[in-house]
Amino acid sequence: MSDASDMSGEPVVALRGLVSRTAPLSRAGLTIAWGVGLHAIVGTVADGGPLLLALVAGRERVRAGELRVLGHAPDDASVRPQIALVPVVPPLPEAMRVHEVLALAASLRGEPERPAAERLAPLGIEALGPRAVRSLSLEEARAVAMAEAITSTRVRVLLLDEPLAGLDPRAAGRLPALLRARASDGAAVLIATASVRDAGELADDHAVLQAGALVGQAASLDALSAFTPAGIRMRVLASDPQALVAALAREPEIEAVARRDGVVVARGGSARSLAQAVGRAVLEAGVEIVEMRLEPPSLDDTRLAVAGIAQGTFEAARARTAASTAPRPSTRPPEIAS
Amino acid sequence: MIAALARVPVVRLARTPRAWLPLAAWTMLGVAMALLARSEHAPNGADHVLVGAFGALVVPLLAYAIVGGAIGGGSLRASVAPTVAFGAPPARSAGVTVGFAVLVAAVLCAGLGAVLAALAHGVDDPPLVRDILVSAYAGALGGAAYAALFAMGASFGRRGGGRTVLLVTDWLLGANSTALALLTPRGHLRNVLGGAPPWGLGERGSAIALVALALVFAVAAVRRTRRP
Repeated sequence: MSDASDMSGEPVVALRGLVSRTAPLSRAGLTIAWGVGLHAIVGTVADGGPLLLALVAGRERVRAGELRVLGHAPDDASVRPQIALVPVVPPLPEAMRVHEVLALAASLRGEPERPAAERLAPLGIEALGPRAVRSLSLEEARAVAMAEAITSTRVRVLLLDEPLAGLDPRAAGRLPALLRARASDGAAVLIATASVRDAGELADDHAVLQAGALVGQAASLDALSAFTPAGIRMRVLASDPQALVAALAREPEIEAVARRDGVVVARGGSARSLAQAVGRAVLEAGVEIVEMRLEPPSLDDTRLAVAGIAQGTFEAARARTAASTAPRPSTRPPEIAS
Repeated sequence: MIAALARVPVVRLARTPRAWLPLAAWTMLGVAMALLARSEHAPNGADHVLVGAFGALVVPLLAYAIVGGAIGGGSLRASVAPTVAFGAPPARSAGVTVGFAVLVAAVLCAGLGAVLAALAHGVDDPPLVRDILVSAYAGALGGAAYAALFAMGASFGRRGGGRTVLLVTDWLLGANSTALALLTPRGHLRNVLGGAPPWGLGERGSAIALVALALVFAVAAVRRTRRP
């Protein structure tokens, strides 16, 4: 596929009835397509996320179906240098130094060699340049592999397995913005993760896998959260948790509230009503807020929600959410099961 | 691209002291045997050392250590994973790695064969210059065949355990002169160095067989690594 065809909106990665030789993607045929942008494959190793990345990278064998990357098979000589796979344990040449690895990668990908510091700086790991690969921790090695993939001028398909897990802390904070910039530059970024939170933070759309089968796709995990059986949760770190719990308990929008190790967790039907209720409770209790954030749904809840949407029960989910957000008599909310 | 691909095995071998120790140990074993034969003024000292210690022990063990160093001690597939991750074709990566190991083994074994022939040369051995040249040529063929054999072995098993299996298999099958010895570098190397031929094969036949074995084993190693 030429650059022009990519710009025309054709998928960068396209799977049609794809069946792997190895489990868990060895039974159901996967049909899905990804274009330029940030995409998450949500599921555990047992669901097949990392295996799917390896298939797209041409590192695993396909038993049936069709797999096209940039319009060709992934092991095509013209496509291979444009794919970067960063697995949990990246295979770096252990006897080399980091700057030598980057020079080698540039040479093999067919791109001009640049100073190592320039390629490592975006992730804040330029100090690793002179280090031997065998002296790196796994977190540092992952950051180096990530820097190579992200700063390559040739790579157009980035396949990242659990990008925020076990990553050098210097790099982890900068990664989301860098991935977004790469996607803006015309790359397709595929992220396999079992963390719904990471998927929500990093990607714009989400394909949810379960035991090798595609359960469904969702454009946004925020919207999805409203339709999960457990509703939305918000974690609040406040100066006086006890007072905040008491105030939250008087809020009709709060379905349940709990206090865990000084952190208050409140559950509501939708993000908006929950945030409004927490805001009122904070004012009423007169407490100072240290941190406040929405909790993403669990992986199981996400699967249930996506499957429900995929099976046409979207309206039922909407009705349930609407019912849960309707005004109710003020009663003490039940405790959230820990 | 070939120069870039060769950087990885070159650096592995050069910067891994763990790989040098066996190389030094097996080289010293050969030199010690040659000096012992020289000190005893053995009339067929070179013949004895080359057919015995050099052909049966030093060449296979040197090649084993060189292949291990070049591929990083694991499987051949794992050794090419870094370059494949940067877009290199697996077959080409494996071909360069195997070719490098074969070349280094051939050169080292040739040089060592020549040195041992000179050190252990006795009065009943062939003329010195001819003996040195023949020993170098035999060492090169043997080193190449053994390196290719062990590279193929490293393509079996998650950690390349086939390398050790083939070392033992060659040592057992190549020890005698039966037809099975025709399949092993050991039987042919012994013949080229002036020892008992495998199944009555001539020296030239064994030399050709060593080249053929090196090619077959190397191609098999690359073919086994070209697919994921």
